[in-house]
Amino acid sequence: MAGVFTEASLVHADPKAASNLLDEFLARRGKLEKFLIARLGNSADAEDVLQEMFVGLTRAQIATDVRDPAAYLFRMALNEARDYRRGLARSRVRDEKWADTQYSMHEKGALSDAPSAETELAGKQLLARVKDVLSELSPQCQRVFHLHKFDGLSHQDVAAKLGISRRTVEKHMHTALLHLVKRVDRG
Amino acid sequence: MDGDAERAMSRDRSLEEAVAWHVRLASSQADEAAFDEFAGWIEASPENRAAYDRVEALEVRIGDAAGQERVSNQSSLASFQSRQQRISWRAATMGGAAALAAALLVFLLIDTRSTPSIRYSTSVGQSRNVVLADGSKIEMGPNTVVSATTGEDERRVEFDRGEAVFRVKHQAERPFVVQAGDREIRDLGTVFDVRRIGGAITVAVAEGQVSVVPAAGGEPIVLQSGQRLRHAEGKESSEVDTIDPRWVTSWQKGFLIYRDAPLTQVVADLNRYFRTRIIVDERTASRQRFSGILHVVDEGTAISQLTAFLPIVAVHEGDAIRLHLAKSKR
Repeated sequence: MAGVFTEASLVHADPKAASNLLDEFLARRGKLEKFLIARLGNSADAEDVLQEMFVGLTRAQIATDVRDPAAYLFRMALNEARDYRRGLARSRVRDEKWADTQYSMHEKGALSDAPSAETELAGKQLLARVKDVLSELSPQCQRVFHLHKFDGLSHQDVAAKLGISRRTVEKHMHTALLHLVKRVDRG
Repeated sequence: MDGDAERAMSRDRSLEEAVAWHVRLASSQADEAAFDEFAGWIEASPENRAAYDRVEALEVRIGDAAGQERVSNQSSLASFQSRQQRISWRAATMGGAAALAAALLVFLLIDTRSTPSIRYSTSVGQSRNVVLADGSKIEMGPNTVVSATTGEDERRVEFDRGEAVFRVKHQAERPFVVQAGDREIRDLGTVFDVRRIGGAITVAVAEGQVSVVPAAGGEPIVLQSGQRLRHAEGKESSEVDTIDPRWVTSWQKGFLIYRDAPLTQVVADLNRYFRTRIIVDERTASRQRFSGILHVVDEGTAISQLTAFLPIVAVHEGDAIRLHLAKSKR
């Protein structure tokens, strides 16, 4: 954005928190790069994601208290890598569509990233399949998966809500996810 | 055991380990050492990376599908709730003082649970990115003012003026609401743009869905990706049309896209990006309409693009620039 705007400014609700994170990032750049190379399997992609992270950290205002900056940054790297891979998948689909369709500025959906009617239908079908497969597991397991994946509760919050331990929550998530990836995933 | 069976076993093991890693790293207790170990595991064999890719990709697909589902449930929930709202006020007025007092008490209770809001603003030509406590982002354009609150039950943004792109992280138990004038935009995990300038509100969705509802209560309008809603404050209704989803955030890269827009709007926009004021008299401006893309890299370029497309000339007048109808052009 810097090219367009005369000033792109940093805003810090907690100046210590934000500059701390940026310092931590710069201090750990090498480690984060190694991590991303491991995750993505090549250094070009890792470099792209690292750049995204840097831009995000310099531009953003961090309004939360970050207890463990290192963990925060590694998680951020893992999430950015996931989104990056997702972007690559979409580009591949888009490039294939380009080869097939007439490109027009006014043609919505031809090259867009947005979910089409087909994607929505596929989504509904996937959910139906997921629910089907999960019904083979224990009710507790299904409850845990539902609360975490569909209602967005953290492991800790699921544990509190169901009156079970965090360890149990994680065991159930493991069971559910393993079952799903074997039965639902087309590979 | 033959080669194939061995490979299958090894793939199964990688898959099981990949799931274990996914769950472990999703925990808030995962520390740097955990991520280190994870990197070590992934590098141990290409099967491990493939397995993790697979688990992550499925998880993303399920998350996306679940998000879609929530939005469609939310919009039917919202219309159900707004109907409930109307019914309960009717009951309150009919049921007398006690019912009304109960309704007001509930309203007050909800109100006191919100946390103080933080105000963010940008000046002309300035941009600013804000990351909220929940990870959602507000990418502010120039001359923009918003206030954000992340409370227990709701994440709310008051949109004073200007333009911003919202990238919202889904949270089922805490809806994300943007209030712009007399309209509320409700979202559950999407990318959308909000404009509020001089009483004109525009909401355009790049990804996902939002629902736009009158702040005072009423029927929601659900906008999909590629749809745009335009609303004049104070009016009852709004207009919905289509827009290429890629155009929704194009201003962030310096491309202002216009489709039969009045020159007054173009000039007003340019004045938000550049310090040297551009002025044009009402009569000239109201007659000219512009369709095209302005690449706003610098003021000079933007203005020369305009004068190339329209029968106008730009003349310095004091420390401003005035646009005149060109006498020689038709």
